Amino acid sequence: MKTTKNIDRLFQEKLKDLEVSPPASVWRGIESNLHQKNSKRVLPLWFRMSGAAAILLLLTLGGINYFDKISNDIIITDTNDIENTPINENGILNPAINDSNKSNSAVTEVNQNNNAASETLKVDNTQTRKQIQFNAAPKNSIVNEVTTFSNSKNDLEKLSGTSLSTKPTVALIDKNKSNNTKSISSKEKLTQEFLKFNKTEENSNSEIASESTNSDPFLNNSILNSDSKGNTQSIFNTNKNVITQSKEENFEEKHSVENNLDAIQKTVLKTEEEVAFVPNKYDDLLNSDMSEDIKEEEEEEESTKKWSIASSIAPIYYNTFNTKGSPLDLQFKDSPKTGSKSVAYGVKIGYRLNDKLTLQSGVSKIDVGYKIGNVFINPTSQLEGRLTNVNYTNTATILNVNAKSFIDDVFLETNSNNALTGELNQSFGYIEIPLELKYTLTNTSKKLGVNLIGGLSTLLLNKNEVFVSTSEFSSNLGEANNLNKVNFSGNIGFDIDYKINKKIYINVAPMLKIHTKTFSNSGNNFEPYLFGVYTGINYRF
Amino acid sequence: MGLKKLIEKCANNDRKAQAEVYQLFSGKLFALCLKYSKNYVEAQDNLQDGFITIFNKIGQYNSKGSFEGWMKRIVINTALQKYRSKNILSLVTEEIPDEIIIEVDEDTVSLDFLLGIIQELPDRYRMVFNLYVLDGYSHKEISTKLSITEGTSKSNLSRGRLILKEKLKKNQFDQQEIIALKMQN
Repeated sequence: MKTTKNIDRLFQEKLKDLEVSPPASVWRGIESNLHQKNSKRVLPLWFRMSGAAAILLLLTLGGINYFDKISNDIIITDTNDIENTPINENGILNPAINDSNKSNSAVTEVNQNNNAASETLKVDNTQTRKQIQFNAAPKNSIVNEVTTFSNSKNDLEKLSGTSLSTKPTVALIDKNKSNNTKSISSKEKLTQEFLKFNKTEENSNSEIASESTNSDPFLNNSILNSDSKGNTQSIFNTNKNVITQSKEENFEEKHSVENNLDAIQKTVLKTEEEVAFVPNKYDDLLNSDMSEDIKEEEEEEESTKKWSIASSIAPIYYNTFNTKGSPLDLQFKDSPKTGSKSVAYGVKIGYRLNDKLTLQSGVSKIDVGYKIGNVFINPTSQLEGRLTNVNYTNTATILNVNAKSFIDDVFLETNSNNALTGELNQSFGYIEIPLELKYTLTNTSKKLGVNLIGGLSTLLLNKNEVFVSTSEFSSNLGEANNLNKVNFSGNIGFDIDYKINKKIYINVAPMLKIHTKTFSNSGNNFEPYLFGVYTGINYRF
Repeated sequence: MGLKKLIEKCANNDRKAQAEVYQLFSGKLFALCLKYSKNYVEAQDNLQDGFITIFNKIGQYNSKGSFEGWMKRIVINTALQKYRSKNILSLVTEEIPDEIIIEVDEDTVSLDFLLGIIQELPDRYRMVFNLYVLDGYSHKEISTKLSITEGTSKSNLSRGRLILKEKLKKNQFDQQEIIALKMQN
């Protein structure tokens, strides 16, 4: 039956709820594309994990040192000498030797891999002979570098250091910079840049080998090798493309360089034609006027930023839970004690695991200590009556320090005629390496965030002083001999942050840190704690 | 499983979740692609590219707006992308009425036929007709999306309508002839 109708309405009504199932090939296409992308992400993920692994390694090494210390300390306390015992040095030396052995074997593995890689390159006829030679040369030099590393004592640390600095993404950016300059420069320069890239790639290779003592080294290396091969090929392809296209499509090329990273990742393992096609396509997609989408992108950008770095400064207060605690000598157990106030400062890094949890670590320097009031300071030449847990310096031998109550009991008043009343100060400092988990209570999109923090710190002793001060003078006595070189603290606290913009936020975190293993003996029941209000300016990236 | 949970999983590259989202929405979005493309193959390409963009950017979707709407915008943008650079049609200002009334027998007009004549429209006419009539964009929005003036958008729409009307008319005529032939037999 015929009806008169507005043509718009006819189409609207008929096509409104139309659904048509697409052919299965479409999903296969999507899946394969997404799969490709996934496999490209394997490497950065691995590198992130290597960062975490490096921190763990550091902590474990610290722990090993610490436990070595405990067993050594039993012997050391007899000789009363901490610093120069040969046993102690041996304890540290042995693991180091083991480590260098390990990395030596790792180097040989790198060698093997290099050989394998250059062989495959030879087989590959798309590359010219000259390039193969170029490839071979730097590899050898890098092997040399690695060997020198392993000869040095701190090889492990150095290698893990390179793992943090030479990420392949960085290398890729370098490469793209070279793309920029290349359009002006000659082909020779190109190959040089190409070599640089190879070098960094090789570095990461060696560092993987060194770290893969736990897992299957061949697996890791083969992943990396295949990837580096693919990378170099794709670079080569893109280089070629740029040369041919640079004249006509200078502008477009610039654009694609801006979007380089993703585009290059996409192109790996594709043929030359595809390499030329995909970046352009990707470029188009990015250029499209998805104004709303771009806004959303900006909004959500902050959630994709996983890392943060912060400067941190904190007024700290250090004292003991047990006021009878008296680590220097038991005679001070009833003397009045005052905790110290000082300032801690350092840097903090954070890695967001998910919306709620952030793992944070860093380095900070803290100075702590306390004062014992009401002490008598006597010039004396006698060796008896010295404080149990102090190693005296030569200049301090003429000073005798005693608690007032102790003096009253033991000596007659006549003996203390020329004694001065003053304070005994014990002061020490640490390099603190915390490992904490931050749990976010509030919604991450809010300006103001409230978090709970819990974790541990490893504390490395870097300052140890005992001195006396009176109204007339102050003098260094020596150092405490019962402070552990490494100790730990349990940390708990709040963290309130305020987001200034997407990248920068400030935070204030009142923290209570309970120290353990501060003293090698019981420390006469001194139970130290530290309260600090940590403030920081954080930068997300 | 809730949609929100599903989207989260997609953002974490969960292949099962991605397949599920595809199952849920591919029908509607493919219909959308068919309207915006000039043929079936091109619609397939647009759907594939659209979904790849959706899955790559799904982490950026904020749960405030409708998810389906967000996906539609991406698919439409993907389809438009192919025609933005091609500025073939020049502006012709003519007096064409805003509203076109047509006499049709709705029962004899099939969906396939309607889709077909949309696909046969010149690219720009098809885009403007789809955006304005079927997806509710204003001429102003269309003009920014397609980098054309509002006037061009309006004139493209009217010309598109005219073409559709002619084809519908012819179809009605053909239908009548078929019926007449059947009657004769």
